[in-house]
Amino acid sequence: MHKKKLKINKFGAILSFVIVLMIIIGIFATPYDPNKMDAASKFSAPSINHIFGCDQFGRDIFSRVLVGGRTTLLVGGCTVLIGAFFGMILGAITGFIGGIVDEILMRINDVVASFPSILLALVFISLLGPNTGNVILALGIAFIPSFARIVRSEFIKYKDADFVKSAKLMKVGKIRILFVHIMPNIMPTMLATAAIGFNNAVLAEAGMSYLGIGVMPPDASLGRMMSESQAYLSVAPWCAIFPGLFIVLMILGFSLLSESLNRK
Amino acid sequence: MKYILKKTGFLVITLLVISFITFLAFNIIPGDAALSKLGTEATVDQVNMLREELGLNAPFFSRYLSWLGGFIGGDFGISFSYMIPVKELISGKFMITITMTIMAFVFIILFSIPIAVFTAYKENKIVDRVITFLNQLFMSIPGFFLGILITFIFGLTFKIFMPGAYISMQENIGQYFYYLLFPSVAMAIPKTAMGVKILRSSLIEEKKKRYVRAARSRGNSNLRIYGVYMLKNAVIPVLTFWAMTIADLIANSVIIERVFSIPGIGTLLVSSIANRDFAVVQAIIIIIAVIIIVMNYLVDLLYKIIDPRIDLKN
Amino acid sequence: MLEVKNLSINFYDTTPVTKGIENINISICEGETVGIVGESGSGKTLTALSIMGLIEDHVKIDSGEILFNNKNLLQISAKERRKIIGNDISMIFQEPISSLNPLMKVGKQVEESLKLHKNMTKDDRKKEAIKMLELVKLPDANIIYDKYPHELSGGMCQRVMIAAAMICHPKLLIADEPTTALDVTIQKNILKLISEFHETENMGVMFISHDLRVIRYICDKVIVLYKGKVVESGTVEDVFNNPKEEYTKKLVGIKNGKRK
Repeated sequence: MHKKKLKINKFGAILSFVIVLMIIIGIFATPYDPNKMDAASKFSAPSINHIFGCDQFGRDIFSRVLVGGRTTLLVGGCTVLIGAFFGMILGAITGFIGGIVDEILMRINDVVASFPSILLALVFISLLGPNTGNVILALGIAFIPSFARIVRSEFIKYKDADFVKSAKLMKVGKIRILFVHIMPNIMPTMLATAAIGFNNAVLAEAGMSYLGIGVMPPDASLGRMMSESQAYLSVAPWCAIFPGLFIVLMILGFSLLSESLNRK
Repeated sequence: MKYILKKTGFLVITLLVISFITFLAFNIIPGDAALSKLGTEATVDQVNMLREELGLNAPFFSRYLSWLGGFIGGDFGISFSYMIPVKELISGKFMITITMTIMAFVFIILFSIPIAVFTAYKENKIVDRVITFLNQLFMSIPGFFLGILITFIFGLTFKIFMPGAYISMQENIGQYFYYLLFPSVAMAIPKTAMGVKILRSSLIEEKKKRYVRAARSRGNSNLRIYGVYMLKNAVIPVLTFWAMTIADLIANSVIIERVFSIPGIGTLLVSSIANRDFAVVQAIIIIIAVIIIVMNYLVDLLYKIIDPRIDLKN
Repeated sequence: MLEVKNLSINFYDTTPVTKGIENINISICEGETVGIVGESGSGKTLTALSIMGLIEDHVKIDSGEILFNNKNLLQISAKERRKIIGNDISMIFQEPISSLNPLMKVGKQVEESLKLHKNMTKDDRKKEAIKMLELVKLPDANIIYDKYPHELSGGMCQRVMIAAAMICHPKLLIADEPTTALDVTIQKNILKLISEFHETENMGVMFISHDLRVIRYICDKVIVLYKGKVVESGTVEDVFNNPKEEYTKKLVGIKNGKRK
């Protein structure tokens, strides 16, 4: 049996797994109380006691990063869910119906898609006020167009496929065709789009909370940690660098993983 | 010709629709402007008088049209916080943001094309794998974090620039560009990485095509194959990415400006949002939207120039 | 003129290694037309591509020589080989429309070999290209010069390819199933065209096909390939009328219907 050499990115898989695992464990227990201030440890460098060091209040950065990572995962995950859910419905409807409705909706879709999600989120926040829920809502809406497009093009591809036609012939209901026949074939592309959307959401959320108009206290955020620590770069660079590094590793892990899963 | 007319038509319609929606959003949702200006202590009469003055009692559509007329003419309204015309407020700052965007874009094009060609040429060899991994790494770094790192490494450690010491064009034009170099590069690197990835895979797709093989059979050197044949064909799907990149660069500059203390449009946007100064926010958002829509339009035209098959595909 | 000796090629992108062709021997003298016949997967195209130096990295030549006018093409530098390819040896391919650069005017592609191999002015090249387009019987050659591939039919594109391949008057033309993707009526015309060039230029032709009728029509000698190996070879009359091997018998028998 001649097999084409396969490449599954183990590094990406391990990285993602470790990060998610750390965050999940962090929900139950962190090495230190993330909010506990300890004047004695103020600005201590990374050591065995505090892997990521301590910030200007003596709080353990590693614990804070785990908590902040929780928000990041939450925002990223919910964004993808909202975007995917509504995007699928939109894409399925326009793909199936076609015609003028399709044309108009797709034009609107494209305009929204070309607008950077951060700006859309900013507009949202400026009108409705900054809080985690609005951030998720804003980014989720910003993510719908790309999903809708992908789903729509997959639908169009399969709409005329032979096995769908034969299902129609057998008088199988339209909805059933949608879910049982077409959906499974669309999954791989959707997962790839979801991965990209997740990464974009993470970046957008970090950026917005860095600016101070994203996730608000008491909700933790890696972006905010970075903006608060920027002033201390010369004294204690680890305060700003580790939260950022965490984001990088999270995105890197997910990207590598989804990349390799996508390859044929 | 028909293609150009069609696209131009869509351009105009899209611009109108966007302006309408934005106007709608910023004038309906925030609530009564007169009330927020005067505060809750104001009497009903005072509020009504101000409403008349500001023209808020007119029917919505005529408000929209008069605003639109003004906007196209260059009147963007008055900033509530600064009490000066929005136009004055934002023109200088836009210059700065646009400068950074252009610098970043030049960096992206300058670096992503050669790297993409090189890695496509050396497909799957060790060099390619290493660069592809580095690529993925750089794509995962948020631009502003890269800005922080650059500040730390080049500003604080190597001291080749002073973080936070922005120098305006009027003071010293050389230093102005020098300082803006750092945030521009910070923004550009993640996008360059993504550009390399997309262009590289497009080139690899082209590499397999029949016409490339036929061109080789005539005796073309690799240089000609990549430069004359493959690049032009491979660039087509990348154009959309580049147009989107410009939009993203503008959006990212919003954040990067804070890292380097640059008084650009981003800083203004954020403070206006915090101050609920909607005239400013609205104007900035619409201008950015116009830039994006026009860029997409130009890319559509560019497609037609590069690819003679476009009419058929439509 | 062309001698392929003991050529063996294998594919190294699978585990275990896949065999390509094994110990192939071909010889083509000046002005000879040799047909390479076999089913898909038998190694015909691979042989042609290896002569032209167009094989990919993971496909390796494990043994053998390819001698063109006593020069071993496998041992010369890429630069030297580029002087020969397109100039002394040319190739035309199976899918004419996709074998042309969709973004380049057809005329420019025809004159390209001149640009690469001969020293001529731009105007002279254009004149020569238009002359070639006329020779391949394309009407309004100077209008066709400015057209793009997608504006032409399959048959017209194939003519363009032939013009491009012939413009440097090569000594050897390798034709890889040039008519398979075309209508029957066009096929005959293209074959006639190739035949005419063969006569007027005293050009050698290596004609690859799975269609025996075409081979019969155009070739003097024929080599039968099966699963990467040469099964039988000889003149067209010998091989087709008196096949010696089992496989050849089957091949000839099926293609010729009930004749036996």
